[in-house]
Amino acid sequence: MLGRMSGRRRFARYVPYVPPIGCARLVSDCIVEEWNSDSAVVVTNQPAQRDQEFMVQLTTPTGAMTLYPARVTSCTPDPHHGSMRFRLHVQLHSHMTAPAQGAPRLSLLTPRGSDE
Amino acid sequence: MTNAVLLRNVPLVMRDVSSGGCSIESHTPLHIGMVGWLEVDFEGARRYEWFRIARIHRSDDDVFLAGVEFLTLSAAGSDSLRSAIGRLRHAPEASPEGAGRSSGDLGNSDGSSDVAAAPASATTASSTGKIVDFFRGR
Repeated sequence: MLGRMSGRRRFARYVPYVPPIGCARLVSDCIVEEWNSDSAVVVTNQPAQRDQEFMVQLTTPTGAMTLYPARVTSCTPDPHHGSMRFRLHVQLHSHMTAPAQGAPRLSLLTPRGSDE
Repeated sequence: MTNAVLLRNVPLVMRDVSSGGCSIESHTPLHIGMVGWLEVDFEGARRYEWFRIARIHRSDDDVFLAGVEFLTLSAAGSDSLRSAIGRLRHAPEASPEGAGRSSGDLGNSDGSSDVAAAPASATTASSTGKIVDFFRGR
């Protein structure tokens, strides 16, 4: 794939001598179908593996954002919404609430810690 | 039914970088169109950037090499990758600590990265700090 690039780059590209190690926090949209105290069912366009961990970010009716650590217990394909989606059954852990006041616009996508 | 977002952490290695994007390598399956928050150590500091995956190459040993473009959702903060690259471009010679060879400017640069060197607004720095604090606290 790289060999077919035309070489017409908009910006100079740098290759570090020591490749930096880091992480990415992937964000994907989902629909919560069921929600209980310790489990939930969400539908999303990305498949997941059993025991995979992630965070579910919800906005409460009062406007506060809440983050729930979750672990996947099962993943089944769901073809009923046009493009292929996946129904994830997850186990929920204790949640964290973040204040919504003063949050920048990006806060809809950004996990935020408590200021307290 | 309620709309929500799923946040997932993926370890990666950054192979190359420019003002517009970078190449990342991961053992976690990645897909074109994925959006996320990138966090890497670069030029002696932790750098951050929103990104979208533009292309994927999967090697035989299940390593995913992704070409990602940076999303310019706000002015580049002092701790952003864009501003770090902007400083490299204006330096007489790239720092040997964090950056290696460059593919060079092929004359097609539109100079957009000049903006990246501008100081971050307080709002941007504040929100980024909270993101960092949150993940450090996890």
